[in-house]
Amino acid sequence: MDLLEAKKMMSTRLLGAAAERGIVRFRTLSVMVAALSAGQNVHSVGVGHKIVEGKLTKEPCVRLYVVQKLAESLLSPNDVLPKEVDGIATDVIESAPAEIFPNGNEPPGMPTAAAVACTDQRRKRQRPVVAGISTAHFRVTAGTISCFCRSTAEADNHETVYALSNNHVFADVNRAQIGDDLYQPGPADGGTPNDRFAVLHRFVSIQLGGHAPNRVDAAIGEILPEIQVDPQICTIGHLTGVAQGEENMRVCKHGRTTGYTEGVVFDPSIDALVGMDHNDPGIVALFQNQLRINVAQPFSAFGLGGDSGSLVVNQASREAVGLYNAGPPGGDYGLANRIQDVLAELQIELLQ
Amino acid sequence: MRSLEEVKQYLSGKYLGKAGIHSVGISRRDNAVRVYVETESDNELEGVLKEIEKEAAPYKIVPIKSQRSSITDLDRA
Repeated sequence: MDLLEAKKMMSTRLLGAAAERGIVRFRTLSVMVAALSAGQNVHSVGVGHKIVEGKLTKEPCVRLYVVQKLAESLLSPNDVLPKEVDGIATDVIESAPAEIFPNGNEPPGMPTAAAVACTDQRRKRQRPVVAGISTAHFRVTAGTISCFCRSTAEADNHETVYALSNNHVFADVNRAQIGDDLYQPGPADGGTPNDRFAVLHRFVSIQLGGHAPNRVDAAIGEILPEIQVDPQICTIGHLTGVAQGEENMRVCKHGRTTGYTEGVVFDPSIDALVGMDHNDPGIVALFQNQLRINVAQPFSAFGLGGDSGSLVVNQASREAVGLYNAGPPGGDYGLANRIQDVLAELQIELLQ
Repeated sequence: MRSLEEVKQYLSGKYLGKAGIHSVGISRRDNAVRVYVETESDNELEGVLKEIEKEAAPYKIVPIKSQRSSITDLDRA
């Protein structure tokens, strides 16, 4: 049995039971109440790597999300969650269950069943297209759709919807032509001409060489008329606006490679020389006034290759603060363009 | 008096790319200029950091060892 089969089995067993009996909505301080409602405790099932003592390990596991973790001694044998499924470990994670909130004002970071499904499929074709998943120009490998936007440029139709990502994802570091095909998923994830979802509409040229300054690594693709879009970010949900990225702000992103991760803005105005070619470390570009984001526990990397284009979002308010475009090989930090610079240079406004 | 951002911009223009310095940033909380250097230290670095310290005054400088960034599309390799 593989990981996804194990997840499916647990999902059928535990969520099927929850659907019949309902789930508890809140943690309780009463041991008696908690023990009596233990059978209604699991609200989501997903997959990931096991977290041990707050640190992400390399061991794949089936994640069981519960409203409240309970000591085994309090539970009836029927309510004890399995430690493994056919040799695959489980990990019990305490988190609040998802609720439907009017006006899309649900709290961030909740692992809803839909969010788990979306993140599991982040390298695959998804229709309607959402943000935070695999994409790329037909000659590029794979990056991430940041979010969706409209153009504020006078010459453009203001009703047209565009996808935002990096220049190096959508425009192949200035080498692409306007009108070139963009795939979802990206070619490295199996994207083919059948997976066209947008065409390159505009990009901000990147000045190479390390002397001329750049503020953004950004491009937009016009969504094809036949493609449906759901303007939310996988796992994160709808944006609520934009904000300045400030020192010590807790942020999150969802990307094609590492999925949902969190970090903390360590440096609010960094000027950095960034390598622009994986095969030639001598090709660099100077990016000014960027955000440097350090990875936060329990995540091991803020972003890795393939996460380029991820939107960086204030974790508490879900306001966009940056456009992730670069990082070191291990992902212990990431660099992001300030979102205000992206909006100004591309002449766009984000869809919420 | 020059602002922290002005000092950072000046130092970034003068020192980026020298002695393993790949980034220059700030900490408003610490009122300091951060100088990010490659993990492999450079022979000239000590002297350059002393120069930067003088030029950054009255702001502090905080050297940080850190690998340089590269774009993060998926590497073809």
